[in-house]
Amino acid sequence: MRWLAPIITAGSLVAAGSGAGTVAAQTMEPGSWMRDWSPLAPVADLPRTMPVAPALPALLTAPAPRVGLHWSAGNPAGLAFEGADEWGDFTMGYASEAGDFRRPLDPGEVHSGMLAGSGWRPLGPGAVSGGVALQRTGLGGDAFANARTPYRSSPHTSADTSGADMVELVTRVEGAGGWRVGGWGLGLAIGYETFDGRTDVSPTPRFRRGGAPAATVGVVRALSAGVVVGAHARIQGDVETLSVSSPRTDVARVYPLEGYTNPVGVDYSTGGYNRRIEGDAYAFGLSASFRALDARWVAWGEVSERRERQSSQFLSDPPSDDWRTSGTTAGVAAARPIAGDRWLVVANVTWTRVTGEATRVALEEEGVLFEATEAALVGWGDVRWTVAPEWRVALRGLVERQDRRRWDLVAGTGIDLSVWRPAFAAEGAWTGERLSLALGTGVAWHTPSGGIPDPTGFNAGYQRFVAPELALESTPTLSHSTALTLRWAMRGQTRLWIQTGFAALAPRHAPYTLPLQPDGRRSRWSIAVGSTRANPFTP
Amino acid sequence: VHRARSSVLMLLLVAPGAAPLIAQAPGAPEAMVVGRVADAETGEPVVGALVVVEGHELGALTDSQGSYRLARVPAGPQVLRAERIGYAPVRAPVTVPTRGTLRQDFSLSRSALRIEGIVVTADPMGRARGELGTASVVGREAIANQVATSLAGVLELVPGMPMSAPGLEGVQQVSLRAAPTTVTETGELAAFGTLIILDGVPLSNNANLQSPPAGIQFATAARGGIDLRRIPASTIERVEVIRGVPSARFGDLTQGAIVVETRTAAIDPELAVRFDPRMANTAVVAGRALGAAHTGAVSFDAARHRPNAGLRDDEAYRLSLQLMHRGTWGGAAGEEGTPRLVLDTRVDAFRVLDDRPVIPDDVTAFATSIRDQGFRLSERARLRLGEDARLQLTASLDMTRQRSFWQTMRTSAATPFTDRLTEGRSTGHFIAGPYLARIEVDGEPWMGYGRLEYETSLRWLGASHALRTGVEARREWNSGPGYRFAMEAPPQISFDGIAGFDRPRSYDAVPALASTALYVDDRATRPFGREGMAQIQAGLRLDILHTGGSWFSGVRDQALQPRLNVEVAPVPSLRFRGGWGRTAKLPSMGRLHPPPVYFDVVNVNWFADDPAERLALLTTFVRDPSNAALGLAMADKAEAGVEVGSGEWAVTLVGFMERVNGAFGTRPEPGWVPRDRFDLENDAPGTGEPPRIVEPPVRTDTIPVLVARPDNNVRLDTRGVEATAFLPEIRPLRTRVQVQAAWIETEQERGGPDFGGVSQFRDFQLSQGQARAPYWESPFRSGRRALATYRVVHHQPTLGLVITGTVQHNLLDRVWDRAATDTLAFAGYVTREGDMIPVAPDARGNPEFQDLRRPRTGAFTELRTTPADWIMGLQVRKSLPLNGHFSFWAFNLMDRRGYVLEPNVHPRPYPRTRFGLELVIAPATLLEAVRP
Repeated sequence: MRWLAPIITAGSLVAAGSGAGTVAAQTMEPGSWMRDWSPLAPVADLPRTMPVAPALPALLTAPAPRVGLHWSAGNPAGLAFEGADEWGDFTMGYASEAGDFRRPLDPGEVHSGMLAGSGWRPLGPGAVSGGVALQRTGLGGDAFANARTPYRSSPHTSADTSGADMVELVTRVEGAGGWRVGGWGLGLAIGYETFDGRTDVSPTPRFRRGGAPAATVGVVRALSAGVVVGAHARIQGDVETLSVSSPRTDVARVYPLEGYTNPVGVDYSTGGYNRRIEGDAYAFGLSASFRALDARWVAWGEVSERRERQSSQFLSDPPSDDWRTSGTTAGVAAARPIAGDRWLVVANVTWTRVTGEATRVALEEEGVLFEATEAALVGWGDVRWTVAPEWRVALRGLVERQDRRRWDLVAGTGIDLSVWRPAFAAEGAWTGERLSLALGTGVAWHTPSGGIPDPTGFNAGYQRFVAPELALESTPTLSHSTALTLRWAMRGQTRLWIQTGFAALAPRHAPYTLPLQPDGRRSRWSIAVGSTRANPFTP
Repeated sequence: VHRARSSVLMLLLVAPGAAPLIAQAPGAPEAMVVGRVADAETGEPVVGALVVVEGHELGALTDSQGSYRLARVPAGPQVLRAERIGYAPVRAPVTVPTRGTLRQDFSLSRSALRIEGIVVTADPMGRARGELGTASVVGREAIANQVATSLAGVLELVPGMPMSAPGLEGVQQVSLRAAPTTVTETGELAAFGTLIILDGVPLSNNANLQSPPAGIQFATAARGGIDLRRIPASTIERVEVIRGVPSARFGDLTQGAIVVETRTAAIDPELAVRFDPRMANTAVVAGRALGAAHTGAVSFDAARHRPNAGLRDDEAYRLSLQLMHRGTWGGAAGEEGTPRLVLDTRVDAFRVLDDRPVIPDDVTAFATSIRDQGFRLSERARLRLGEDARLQLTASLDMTRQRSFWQTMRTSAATPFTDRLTEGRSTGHFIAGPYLARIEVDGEPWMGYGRLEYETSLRWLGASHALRTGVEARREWNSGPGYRFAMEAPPQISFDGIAGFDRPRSYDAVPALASTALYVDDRATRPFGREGMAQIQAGLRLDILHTGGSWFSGVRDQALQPRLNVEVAPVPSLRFRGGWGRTAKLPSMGRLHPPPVYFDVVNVNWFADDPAERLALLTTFVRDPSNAALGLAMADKAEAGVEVGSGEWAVTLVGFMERVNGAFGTRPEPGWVPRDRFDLENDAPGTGEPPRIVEPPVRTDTIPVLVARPDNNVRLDTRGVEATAFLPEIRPLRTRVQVQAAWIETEQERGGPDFGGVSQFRDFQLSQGQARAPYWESPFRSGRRALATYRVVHHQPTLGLVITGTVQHNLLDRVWDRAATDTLAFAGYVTREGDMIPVAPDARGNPEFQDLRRPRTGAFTELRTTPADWIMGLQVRKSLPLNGHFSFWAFNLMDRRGYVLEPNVHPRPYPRTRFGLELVIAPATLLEAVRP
């Protein structure tokens, strides 16, 4: 499952197009709460992400984080009880990212423009929420990845050596509605994301395209004493087709990557290399919302399954590679205003565990070839304080723990890595009669421990396309971000804003350097303009 | 009052058929419809709104209170439509009583997306204006909701039409009620027989001569209908697809008629921008009143499509511009009457380019380019003659400048070649080695068209009649340099020493095509019982194809075409319909006046190392393939159907049978040419000069040849069933389901012999020892298709949101050529002199026919089907502030591949996933919003 890059948040250092960083921005940063409900959210997949600073609180451009069955647990039926107000936003932005501190399948440069709009409002006996986004991204600086999201849990991916610049257009549209029927709530959310990418100018052109529809259905029941319980089911499908061709005499060399075995390059001089990835996933979840200790609490749990099949031709030949995962997710979130509305505290803890196994049709007698057990615990807190009518501040803390054990049974090797990622962000905002101003900054540390294979015993393909990624994940890093926002109040509840941001990521000083570890730093700047309307949370 | 009057004139353009508002005849079974038109947001009355009865030329304007009054509305199920500049039109199905008064109020909204009950599919209750035959009516909202670049995309809303991705790549044609067979000719014939009428004037492809010579492939619309890329979807207001028996007003068709109304009318300016990874499209539509009696409008569309971006620099683009002026004189533009004279002047201009340039470093240097540009000037004058009659004069001049080229690198073995244009023997030269072959086809088809029509309403035999009669004349011709290539670099290299190269041909010398027509048509309406209503539309049309290029040059062929449609509605919610009629189609100029066929028989082929010693002697024979008997193709159409439902829901079922007799094909006609063989002298190498021919010839061979002569020898049979179900809205879910399905079987049979594959006859030509060769009866080709399209439409007027999910289910695709292939299948034999001798079936096993008993080639007789499969699309539209809207669309959203190269499966590849966005804004509203 792929997501658009939220390029307007200064803290998200995005490897747009590679997709990996974007998922992290969506699922592990507190600023992503506005999209947590999406039916397109990853199911039974924990992509490997770049260690980036958290999103800033966005005091002037977004409402305060919400807690609810819809917003936190992704049960659209919760909207029947949670959507009493109205919100709408529109954003247009541009971001540029570059630097050598990257993984082999991340592009060296990313230039991205985006249009997006989202909103929610009451509708009849319930409420609806939805959004649409369009992103056009230029990928440069040796973009070797064939697939759009090469660093998913699945070990099956591929690279080619042309490294030509690419352009990619991604669109996402999603919506949810919840309707109240007596003490019951019924909900439906649907979403669709699609992309189309191609090399700009290349003797060995590369194309990739795909689509991913998804739907969530839910039901909730309001019990006494403000308790609401619910259940939901999610289903997703995704298709990605990629090809590398050589219309002239040039040779396209493609490296199929399948875990930690030595990749062997395959030359395609006629016909080209084709790959089709078909996935489907489903999940069932239970959730409950209640009030306790003067706070609104939401707890949820979800079990999920995902299967991915890859075939090597466009025709309906049988899939050659198979990847199955099972996932478990549990979470709890709470929001509590203090001292009237002067303070608002929101906290969220989510734990996700995914186990997966890969098989190949050609090696059926070998059984499972690759297995992975990955877990992530993400906890974040958001504290907002209205110091004075014109002054507000927000603090965010984030702690993330990742444990990844990925083992290649053919190569007889793998990784066993644990990562701590503590992060903090702060933002202050001044609001005048018309003009408002906000300044924020964030910092995050990435501290790994564990073991990865020694790359010296592997071939050149491994050292080029696999080892640097493992070295980067095993490197302590520091990332930080800063953003400045100006906002102008129009008539009514409409606000226009402009935001510029900067973020950077670099390895921390370490007592030793890993072989093939990427060096240098990676930085990103962004600028965005937008409007918000009928925001009841920010004056 | 002045403003309201101006508005009326502008609004009349939205519904041209309603322009001169003609009241019903006195005494007809009629009722009065009254009501009020109000602004949906404010509740204020809407002054000057036009309320019309669809399918009838009857309408009224709202007064200062927003009230309207339609007198003498025919009883029965009718559809009322209210419209006003700046508002989205609203339609309301009603059942008009036989007498009394019916009240119907309207609420108009600035944004159609915020109106209850908008129809975003083909309207199941819609009626083509003045027509009783089966028709699909596609309104503006459905067009806006459709992912379409041109008219071809809009027509996907018609039952039986497959979904396709939007774009400008390749020629776009439409084949109504036809299933594909194993040959493209079937689809081309169906497209050729589909009439397109744009703003009241027919478009014609009869004079298109952009056909490449045999063996050369480039995209061309010459053999089919017009290239629909020239009609942008963004500028279409309404499309009526008459699939059943059309009224006698429509001629030059076999399949059906598509009536297109553009948006060149007095409407608020609108700017639309559409973008997807392969295409960009911008459209502007605007119109305004110019004083009390004049209205001007303009629409512009520009689209660019790069279908293979990243791989090749192929590019297609389209520019389209339409200008319109309407002037009115006499009468009052209000409730009391209509202008006495209305003059519509339209200028349409377009340019469609489809380039496939050379790929850098590509050794084949292959490239093609199709560039069409043209203009059309049309004038329509409507003169009101009293209360119930009018006279309408339509005239147009249509010109298209067509430029096509094709090139590729050829490598020729030493091939003797002559460019002689007349019969006789001449010395030729040799072509050898690699060279760049290039052809250019430059033509300029023109059409002059005129129609004079008289309409009146009267009452007779207890029924109200809408009677019209008219005369039509058209002249089509082509000019320009025509087909050209450099003689030193001919495009064809597969030369067998007999078949000649096509010679360059100027189109200036091709005679024109002239035709005239007379028609009379009456539509009678009569109530019966308590609520019943019967309608009969009967007409007669005479089409005349003239022998020369003028209307006074005699009759080459003529066709009298009776047409009848009947509709009986015992109750308003149940209608039985039936129709039978005959239609005729003019042949194309390419078939009427085919280019001469050249046979260049090689007498001497002496290719020496020294070019000075080479000798090529060829005898050129010229055969005229034209057929003086070629005439009109005739189609017999019959259909019967039933419709059940009201405006909220409807189910329709139509069965049809159509037979086109004398459709246009070619008949291979055997003949022979002599080849003289000579002895040579002075043929030793090193002389520095070519050998000399020794006369007389030592031998003369007889070489059989085939001349493909255009003929009315194709029979096209189509039968099928079309069904639509427009289910009522599931109110709590704000969701409606529409299903349309079609099962169509087409059979094509070509009269005349089949000489097998090309190589089989060529072997006969070249083998002097072979005295005869078998021929067979032509294969019988059939195609069967079943297609169902399900649309789920979710509409939230409060949000201004419409979500349309479309699933097209290919239930059946089957093609089958029926032809006997056993060794006794031959029907006879042809001698070397071209004589055809039939052999009785019971004699084919005789020993003297041993040499004829050989396997047949060139006929595909295997039954091939494609498994059922489906494809899905999605469209999301959301209103924006200030009268704008935004939409997202995705085609084949699961990127399904279909069937491409499966063994024993007829291919049905699905186009790859496409998606895009569209933004529509109203500049005037924006300016109004920011104005201090």
